[in-house]
Amino acid sequence: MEQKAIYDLLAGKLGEGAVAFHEDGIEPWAEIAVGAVAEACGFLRGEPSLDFDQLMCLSGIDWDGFDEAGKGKSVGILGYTDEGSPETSDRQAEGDLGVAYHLYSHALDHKFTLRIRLPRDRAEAPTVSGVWATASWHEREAWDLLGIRFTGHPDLRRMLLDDKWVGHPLRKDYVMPDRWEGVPMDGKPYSANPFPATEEPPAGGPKPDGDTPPAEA
Amino acid sequence: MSSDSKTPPSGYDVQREHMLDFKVDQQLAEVVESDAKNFILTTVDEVFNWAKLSSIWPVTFGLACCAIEMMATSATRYDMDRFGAGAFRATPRQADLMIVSGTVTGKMAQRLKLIYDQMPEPKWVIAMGSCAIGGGPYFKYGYHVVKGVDLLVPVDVYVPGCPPRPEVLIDGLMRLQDKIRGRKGRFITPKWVTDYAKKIPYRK
Repeated sequence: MEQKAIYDLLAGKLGEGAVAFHEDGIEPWAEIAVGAVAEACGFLRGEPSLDFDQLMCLSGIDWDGFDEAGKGKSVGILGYTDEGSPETSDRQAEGDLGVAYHLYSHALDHKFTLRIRLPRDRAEAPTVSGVWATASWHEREAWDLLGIRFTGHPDLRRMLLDDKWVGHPLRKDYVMPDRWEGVPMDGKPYSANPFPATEEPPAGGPKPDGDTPPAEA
Repeated sequence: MSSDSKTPPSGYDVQREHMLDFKVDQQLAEVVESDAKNFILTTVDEVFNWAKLSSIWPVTFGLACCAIEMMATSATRYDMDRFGAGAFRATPRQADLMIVSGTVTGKMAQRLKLIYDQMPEPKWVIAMGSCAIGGGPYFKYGYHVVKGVDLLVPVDVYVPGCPPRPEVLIDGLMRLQDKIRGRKGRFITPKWVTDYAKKIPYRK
């Protein structure tokens, strides 16, 4: 079934919950309201003419630096300096967070993409792990790395990082840690040359192997 | 016994005495010249070092894609067992060498330190690949990567590459054997390497 037809079916079911349908870009996608996620996913899974039996991927998104349509330039992300210490900045992150649901039907061989937008200060979305069991780990990962809280999730713990980790690293205003549980996470100066230029091979001794420069190509 | 009271026995070589790094006294010279020629004077360190460097058993410990190259090094084509380092032990208590083959994350760092502490002395560490040397591609934005395993444990030999080929790992192992042997190996960087390193724009 064409994606536009799928969206029309979905919009007829949701009413005001269906916000927009975007056909530009690589893959069409539908934006729906946060409150309509559970109903929409239950409908897409249960409707026999749609029969989306697989959630291919559930991704968390940080739209910091992007405009309302989801287009724009990326912002500078904080990392480590050449001296190995964490970078800091006064910039406040703006823009929404979001979740994308990529669906697929094995029987009918068609795809569909849903997106929701979440305000940054209250990033909460209803879980869909009751509809697709595979969403459980994907939502745990989105919580771990982007701090999107999925209400009603049976076991919302961190997926990849340690339980004691502070912060959500894939948010674009995340400041890198310099130390974690006694483990140094900042590095030594990357620009320091470990070999002083004054160090010369001993004269008269046997030359070490490979002491000839490679031939110019 | 005074050395002036007796002349040295016949056959006692004065020059040989000066070649030794300790003073051979008269009594020892008598024993050497006597019929009881049943002992050898030598340094046992060379024998011990030879035994150590001929059986460097690594601990079975792979972290990332470098571990694939480490497995290839120990497999038939490259056969690290030719150098006595092919017996990967499944417990750190039987191992001499830890090849840190891959990215060291913050979570893994505590386990790595534990494994290193469990290994008996003498023990050596090879940092294999860019990640284990200095964080590699994760230096800038790796919030979870330790920027070099030498921040955690002392490293004997660094093997650069991403990942290093098996020949390079074997070369690193042989440099470690040189280090154990007490001989100065190829630790002096050739001048063209330092000159070339200055041209890399990331370096200051």
